[in-house]
Amino acid sequence: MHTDPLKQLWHQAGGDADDSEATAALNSWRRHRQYAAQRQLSAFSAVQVMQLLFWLALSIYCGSVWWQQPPRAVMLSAVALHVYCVAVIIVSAARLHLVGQLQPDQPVLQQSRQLALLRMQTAAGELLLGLPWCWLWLAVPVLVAWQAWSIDLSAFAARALLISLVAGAALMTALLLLARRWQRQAPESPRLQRAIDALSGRRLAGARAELEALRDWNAR
Amino acid sequence: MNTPAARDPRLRFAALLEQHRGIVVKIARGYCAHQEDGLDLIQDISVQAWDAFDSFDPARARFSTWLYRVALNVAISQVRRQQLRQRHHAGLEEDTLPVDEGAPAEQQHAVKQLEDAIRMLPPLDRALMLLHLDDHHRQIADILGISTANVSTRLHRLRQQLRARFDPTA
Repeated sequence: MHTDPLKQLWHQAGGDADDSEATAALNSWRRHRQYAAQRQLSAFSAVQVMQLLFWLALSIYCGSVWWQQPPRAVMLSAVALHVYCVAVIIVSAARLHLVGQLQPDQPVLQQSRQLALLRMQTAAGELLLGLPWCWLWLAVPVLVAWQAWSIDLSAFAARALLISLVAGAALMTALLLLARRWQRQAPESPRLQRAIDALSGRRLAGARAELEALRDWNAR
Repeated sequence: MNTPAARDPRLRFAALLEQHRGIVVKIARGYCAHQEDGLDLIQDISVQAWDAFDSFDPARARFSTWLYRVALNVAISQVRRQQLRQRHHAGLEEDTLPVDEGAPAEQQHAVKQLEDAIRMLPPLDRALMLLHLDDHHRQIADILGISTANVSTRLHRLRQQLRARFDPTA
C-alpha cells in the first residue's frame, strides 16, 4: 500500500463538509467571554497566585513572630513555618513561571515538553510540601496560642512538638535534596519507588515517563 | 488593504478561520473518537486561536502553519482529558464526526478505518501523520519544532506502521 491512496482517502474524509454542528463549534470564539472562565490553565494560574499571596503573608507573619524573640519553642515553630512558607513560595513561583512561558502558538513538541515539565513540577512540589506538612502543622497552633493568648503550648507537650518540628524539617530537607534527582531519574530502590508512586498517585512517574518519551521522540 | 475586513481583527480572524476550517475539523477527527469530544475540541481550538490571534504575524508564518500549531497544542493537551472521558463512553455506540454522507458506504467505511488507525497512534505521531496526510510536508518541521531529517525518519516509520495496521483495499 502506498501513502497516496491514504492521502486521497483522507481528503475525502469530509473535513470541509458543511456540518452545522462543526460550524457552530468553530464559531465559539465569538462567545469568547463565556468560555474564558473554563480554561484550565487560567484557573491553575489564579490558584497559584492566590497560594503565593497567602504564603507570602504567612511568611511575613512568621518572620515578625520570631523577630520578636519569643520563648524557644515558639521561636522554633515560627522559624520552621517561615522556612516552609519560603519553600511553598519558591514552588508556586516556579510553576507560575512555567505557565507564563506557555504560548498557544509555540511549536508542538516544545509545548508538550513544557506541559510535561509543569506536571512533573506540580507532582514533585505536592510531594515535597505535602509530606513535611504532616508534621509541621503542629507549629501553627503553637504560634496562634502564643499570639492570641500568650500561652506557650510547648509547656504542655514539649517533646511531641520538638519531635514534630525535627521530623518535619528533616523530611523537608531530605525531599528537597532528592527532588531534583527524582525528577531526572527514578529511584534505584524498588521499595522507595513504590512508596513515591503511592504517595504521588503515580503522577511523578507518569510525568517522568512522558518527558522521557518526548526526549526519545525528538532524538530518533 | 484598507477594507473593513483588513482593519477589524474579528472580521479578519473570522475570514481566515472559515477559509482554514478543514484544518480544525480534521484535527478534531484525528484526535477524538466521539462526536461530542470532537465538537468540544473544535470549540476549544477556535477560542484558543482567537485568544492568540494577536500573536499571529503574517510576515513570520502562514495562517495555516500558525493555526496548525495552536490546534495541535490544544488537541494534544486535551488527549489526557479525552482519555478520561472515553472511559465514560465505554460501551456506548461510537458517534463520530459525520463523514461526507454523499460518499459510497465502502468509502465511508474506509475513511472510518483510516481515522481509527490514526487515532491509535501516540499524540505526536498522530500530529505528524495528520500534517503529512494534509500535504503540509514543508511546514511539519516548523509546526512540530523538530528537524526536517527527523520528520523524514519518523514519517518513514509511521507509514510502515500504518501500512501494517490499515489496508484500504481490505
